[in-house]
Amino acid sequence: MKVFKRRAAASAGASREASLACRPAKNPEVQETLQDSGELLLTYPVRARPWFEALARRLGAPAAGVQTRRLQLDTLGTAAWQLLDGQRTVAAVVQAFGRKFQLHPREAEVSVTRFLKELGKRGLIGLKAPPGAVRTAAGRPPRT
Amino acid sequence: MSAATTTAAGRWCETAWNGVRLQVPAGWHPREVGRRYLLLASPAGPAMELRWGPAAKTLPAPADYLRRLQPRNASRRLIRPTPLSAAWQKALAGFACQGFTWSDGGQAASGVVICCPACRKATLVQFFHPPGAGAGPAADRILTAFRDHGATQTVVYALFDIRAEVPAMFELAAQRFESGYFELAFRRPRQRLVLHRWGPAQVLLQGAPLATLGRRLLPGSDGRPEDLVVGAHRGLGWSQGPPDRGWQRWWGLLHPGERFRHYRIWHAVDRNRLMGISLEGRLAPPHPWLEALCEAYESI
Repeated sequence: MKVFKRRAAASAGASREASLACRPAKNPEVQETLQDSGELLLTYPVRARPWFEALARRLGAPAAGVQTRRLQLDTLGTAAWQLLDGQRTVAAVVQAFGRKFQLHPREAEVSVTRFLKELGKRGLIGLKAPPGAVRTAAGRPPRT
Repeated sequence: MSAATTTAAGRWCETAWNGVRLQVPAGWHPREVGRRYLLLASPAGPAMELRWGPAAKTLPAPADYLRRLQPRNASRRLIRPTPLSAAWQKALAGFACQGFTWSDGGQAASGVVICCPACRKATLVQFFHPPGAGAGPAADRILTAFRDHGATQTVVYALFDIRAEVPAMFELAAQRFESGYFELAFRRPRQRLVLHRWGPAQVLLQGAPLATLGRRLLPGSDGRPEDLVVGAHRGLGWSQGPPDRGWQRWWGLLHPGERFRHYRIWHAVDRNRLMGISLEGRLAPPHPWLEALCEAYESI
């Protein structure tokens, strides 16, 4: 019996260059509210997970349906959000963000990519891959 | 084409870390930073790696270092010793050197082990490139500017956008490079020095006075600050000593800890940064080097 099994190699995912070439696009269902402080409040709908809804139904709870969530952006987050126009690539957003706040290129890249990742997790943005770089979620070309 | 050659024509910048100094293309940024380790990456990927350390009692030949780097279980020798090119020989005159190359799968590198008879430091430098390609002309220029010790009593730290000249008596203890905040911590017996860099300043300040923000960013900076000028920038400083009378004086003498604290923060308006220094320890002022340290600590 093998005591120490070799771990399966992790999925390589998209390369840095490919990720920077993507175009982030806002979810059209997100509503923006500009506050007096100049910061944005994002309101977005969230649908409960199917397993949770099924469980709630079995327990007799009313259906959760679509809920509304809010995300308060700070000054930097607001600036980064306003740079997302669906045309700029991630690299262009990084460059514009770094120029606006006089950040080191690497520092701007880390800040913006982390922010975009967080927005993506919440479903507030999607990433359009550049033409010719269509990949499946596992990082492999789609089957024909 | 290698990463080194693609950027050879662009701007160059100083990179210095814990005793090692060199000039690299401006597009190469640190990807990994250790106490005695640097991995620099170009937009195309990892470009260069440096690893260094003090030699033991006797400075061994560079070839001995190379022998130690060979993987023990490898069926074939991965690292091949090679003679130095004429350009590298000229660049590294005065050092004992041994060149090497390795190639494994789709990766390859050319490098050199450098032993300095003056400071007794051994440094491994390697440039990554595709198999079959060379290190490129950028490597020649990088090695020409390579220095592993300085002529002054200060050690230069220049990484990302900060540059500092720290007195050699301080040893690097820790570093943090986070988005918006950099920290370099140094120590010597009975004293601890921390260099801070925050940014962007306009977002952090947002109209608030520097004193309010300084108290929040530099824990321990209590009391009324004094105005100071660092270079061309306006700043604030806090100095605290142990109580000089009463039972608190005796309590302080009996219990170890930081008895003398100095905090400084200044606003580099042109760079949109806040620079700060914390000095804590049991050593009493004056610290004649502190002014020079503050003057030389800048965001570039």
